[in-house]
Amino acid sequence: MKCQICQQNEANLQVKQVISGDVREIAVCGECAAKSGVKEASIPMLTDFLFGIGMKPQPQPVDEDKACVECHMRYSDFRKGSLLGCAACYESFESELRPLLESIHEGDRHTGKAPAGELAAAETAGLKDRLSRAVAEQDFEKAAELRDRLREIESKREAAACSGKGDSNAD
Amino acid sequence: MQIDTLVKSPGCWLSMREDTGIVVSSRVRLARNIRDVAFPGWAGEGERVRVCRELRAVFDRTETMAGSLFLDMSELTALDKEILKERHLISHELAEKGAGSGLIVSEDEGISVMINEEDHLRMQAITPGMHLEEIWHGLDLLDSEVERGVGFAFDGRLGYLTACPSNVGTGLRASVMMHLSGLKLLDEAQAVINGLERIGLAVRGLLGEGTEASGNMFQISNQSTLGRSEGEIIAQLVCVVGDLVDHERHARARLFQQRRTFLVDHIGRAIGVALHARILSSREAVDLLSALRLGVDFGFITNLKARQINEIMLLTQPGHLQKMCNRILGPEERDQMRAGLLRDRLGEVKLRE
Repeated sequence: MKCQICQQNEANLQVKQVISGDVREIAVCGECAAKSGVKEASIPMLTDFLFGIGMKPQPQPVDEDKACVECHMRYSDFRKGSLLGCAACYESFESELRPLLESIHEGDRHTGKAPAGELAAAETAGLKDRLSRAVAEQDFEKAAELRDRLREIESKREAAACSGKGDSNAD
Repeated sequence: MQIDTLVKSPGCWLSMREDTGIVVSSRVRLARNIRDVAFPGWAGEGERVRVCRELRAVFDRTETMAGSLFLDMSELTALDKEILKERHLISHELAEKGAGSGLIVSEDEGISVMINEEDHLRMQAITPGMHLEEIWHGLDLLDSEVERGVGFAFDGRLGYLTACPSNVGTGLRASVMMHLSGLKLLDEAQAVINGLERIGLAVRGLLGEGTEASGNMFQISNQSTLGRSEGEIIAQLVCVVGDLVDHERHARARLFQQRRTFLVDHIGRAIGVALHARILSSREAVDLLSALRLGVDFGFITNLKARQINEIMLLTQPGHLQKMCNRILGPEERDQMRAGLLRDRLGEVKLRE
């Protein structure tokens, strides 16, 4: 088999590489492998040599005219002023904002304080998931325990709604 | 309470406590928006006016802000806005806004709330010295009180949603103003700043974003608001500031032991200029006050308190100088007045070796 880089010498090395999640196997000759530095077992370097792009994913093209479903701000408006139009912009421009958020922040998930209602909603959703799993696994003892906890949260929520008050939980 | 009483008020947060040394002040702010309402920059004026009215009513009902002052941006003069900026109560951005934007400020100025700046709400707590945890606790309580009256824009994954993606998550910016003149005199401040930036903290000058560190004052704050909880953000800053205070103390100890004449000369010259100059720019005044502050901390100046220096720093800013004589002053007149104020306030100051 000929080397897949120079197409001349006989290939005597098989190199596996991952590009955008796909595993590819490439046959190369010793000379081309040496040129690309494969001796140091550096797959990204060989990838650089072969495709000139390295292992980094290519940025997705951004649609500047894309508009928020709620406030109709366009992505190009955000680019000009650096400020979003409304809370729904986060969902409308989710894929465009993701790399920006990653570059500014240390994490991608909020782990701090939450408004009282939101906290209960997140907890209820988790409990409901676990309840369905327990029923599916026929673990009825566990299911009964989870059902009781759900009822307890629901009744607390109703009581809070009636009095118009709720306690917020800090982290 | 009116803005004029606020200007003369000795209850200003800067002179509330005695314990200002290396850490001059601590500040915490929270960004919040109302659910299902466009952010202020994208909303129309009518909507901003409605939001402002609604939020004022919510704050009126809170225990924390009882008896506070409300100031409507559309009713203030340019000079009044300047005064509020110099007191760190409003930002340059809020000062530029008109109807529908305002400020709610507690009597001691320790808590202030900007309505319809970049976000619907910017709540701030500020105090002299190193008290980040304490003021965060107070602001957290106010936030919870407000939340009972109005629904905040919140997402399970991204947390509190803000107009600028750089504030999303906790919406929390905690910052500390530090006087690092020992490190600066030894030419070691830049290395420290580079180190802070490497661990994800922002370092700014005395007057916030985009300003250089005049008067050897550095404002250090968290950059990231998403991923860590409020408690973790504050704890990291408290830990880093503790280390910085140690560095600064160490630098000052080296100055005292190894370069004492240089140190005393630096402070003595500042006293000389402060007592005899007839023209002083803002920049020169803060540098002189920095040297005097160092003299007070070392005990070379005994008849002056850090609290008094804070007050002079505030009063010698352009807005305050003009408010005191109730007229607009040109830069030259201001520089003369500033020099006069320093001579008046520091007349008794002496160097004791």
